Amino acid sequence: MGRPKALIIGSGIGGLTSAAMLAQTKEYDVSVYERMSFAGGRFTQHDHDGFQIPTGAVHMIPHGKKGPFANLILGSRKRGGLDLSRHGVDFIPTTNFACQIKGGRLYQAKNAFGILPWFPISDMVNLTRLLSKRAKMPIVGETENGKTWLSKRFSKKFVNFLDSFSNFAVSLKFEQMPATSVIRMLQNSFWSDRPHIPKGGCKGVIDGLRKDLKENGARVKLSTEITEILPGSAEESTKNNEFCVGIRRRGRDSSIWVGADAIIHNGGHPNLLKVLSDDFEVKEEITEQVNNTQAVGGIGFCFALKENVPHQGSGVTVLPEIDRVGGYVIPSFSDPSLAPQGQHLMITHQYVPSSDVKSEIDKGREELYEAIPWLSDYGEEICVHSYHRNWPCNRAPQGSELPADIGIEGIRLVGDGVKSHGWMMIEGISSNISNVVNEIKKEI
Amino acid sequence: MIGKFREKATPGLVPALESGISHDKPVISGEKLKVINHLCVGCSYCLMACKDKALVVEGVCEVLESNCTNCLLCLMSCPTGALVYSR
Repeated sequence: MGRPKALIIGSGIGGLTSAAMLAQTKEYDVSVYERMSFAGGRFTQHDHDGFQIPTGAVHMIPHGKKGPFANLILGSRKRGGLDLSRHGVDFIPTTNFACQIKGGRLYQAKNAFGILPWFPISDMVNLTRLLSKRAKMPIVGETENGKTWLSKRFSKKFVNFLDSFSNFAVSLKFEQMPATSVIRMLQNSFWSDRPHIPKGGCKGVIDGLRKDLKENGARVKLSTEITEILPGSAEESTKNNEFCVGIRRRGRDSSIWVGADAIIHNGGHPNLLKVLSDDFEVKEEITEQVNNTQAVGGIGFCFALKENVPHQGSGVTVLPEIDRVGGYVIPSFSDPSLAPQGQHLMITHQYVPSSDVKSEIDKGREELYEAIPWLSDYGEEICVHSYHRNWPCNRAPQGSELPADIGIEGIRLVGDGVKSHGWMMIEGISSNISNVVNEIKKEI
Repeated sequence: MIGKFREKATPGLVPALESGISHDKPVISGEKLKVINHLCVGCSYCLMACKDKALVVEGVCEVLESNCTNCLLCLMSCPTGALVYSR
C-alpha cells in the first residue's frame, strides 16, 4: 500500500495552504481539484491591461507580518509555518496604519496611535480599557450586538469610523455581529502589525504555494469538478480507500472515480453537503445550522488612478461619512507592479444591504464620487465586481462561523465559512488551517 | 489565435481549444454563449478572461454577440456555472 491519499477540493487560499502543509510532510499523496480554469479562488488576480484586478480579496493582509496568515505562510517549518519566502513570497507594509476622509479632507495615521487625535479623549480611555481586556475574560453585555455594545461606550464619531472599517473588512455592519466578535476583532487589529500587501499581489502567494506543492510532488488539477463523494467500498478500484470521489473535467459528461483517505473541502458547507452521498450521516443540527446560514455579499469597484493623485499612500482608507462603501486601498503605492507604470490601482469595498445588486452598485458609485473629492478628476472606473449567493464575500458571516468538522471522520472544511473567532479576512481563514490539518493527520 | 481555431474546428468533438482548455462541446452553428441570469453573481471574472471585449458586467453579465468569437475562455473561468454554450 502506498501513502494515504489526501484530496483537496477547491484551490482557494484555504485549500492550497492545507495541501501545502500536508505535502511538506511527504507522508501523503496530495492532489487538489479546482473547478475553475485558474487557481487561487477569491485570493488571486487577473491581469487586465496591466492592472492586477483582484478576484475578491483586496491585495491586503490585515494584520501584516504579525498575524496568523504571516505565521502560516512565512513562518519557519519548525514553528508550524510553510516558509514560503524560499519561493519569493513576501509582504510589503502599507504606507499607513489607517486613513480616513472626512469633510473631503484626508487624515492619515502612521501607526495605531495616529488615529487617537481624530476622536474625543473619552474614546481613548475606553479604547485602552478594551484593548487591555484579556481575551478569555467575560464581557459585560456579551449577548448584545456589536453596535449597541460600542455605542454605550464610545462616541458616535468613533463608532462610525469602526463601523465603516468593518463594512470594508467583513462586509457587515456592527449591528449584524455579536459584541464578542467585534471586541476580539478590534483587539486583534490594534495589537498586530499594520496591514501589508503581498508582493506581486494575492497571486504572488498563490504562485509560491503552487511552487511548493510542485516541489513536494502534489498535483493541482484545474477545470475539474467533484460530482460525488461515496464510501470507498462503492467501487472496486477504491475499495482500499476511505472515500470514492467522482471527478469530471468541466464541460464533459462522464466522470471517473478516484480514491481518497482524507478530504479537505474548500468550497463551503452547502456545496459539500450537495456532493456527499446518503451513505454518510451528517448531524441534523449541522445541516440545520448550514441551512440557516446566509452567505455575505459585497461589491467592489476598481479604479485606475493618475500618478499624481492627491492621496499618495497605500493604507486602508475608511469613509465614515457614507453608508454603503466602507473604504478603499491603493495597493500599488506599496507594490508598483500591481498597476501599469505611471498609474495606480484603487480598490473599494462596500456591503450589500438589499438583494437588488444593480441599484446597490449605482448607489455605491454615487457615494464614492461624493465622499472622495478628487475621484472624478484623477480616477477612471475599470470594472465592478459583485459577490453574493453561491460566490459570496464570506460563506458565513463574521461571528457566526460554521464548524470545520461536520461529524464525518476524514472530512474537514477550510475557507471563509470556518474562520476562527475574532479574526477577519484572510487571517480568519489561516488561523483555522493548522488545527484542521492536524486533525486530518490524526485521522488518516 | 481564435480565428485559427475556428477555421480548424469542424462540427463534432473538439478535443482542445488553442487556449489550452479542452472540452467536449461540439461546435455547431447556431450555438452561442448565453448567461443564466439567476446563477450570475456579477463577479467579472469572465470580463477579465475575455480578450474580445464581448462582455459587459454590472451586477450581472451580458454578452455582446457581435464581438464574441466563442473562444469560451469566459465559460471556464465562471465560478457559478452561469455561462453556457447552447442554442
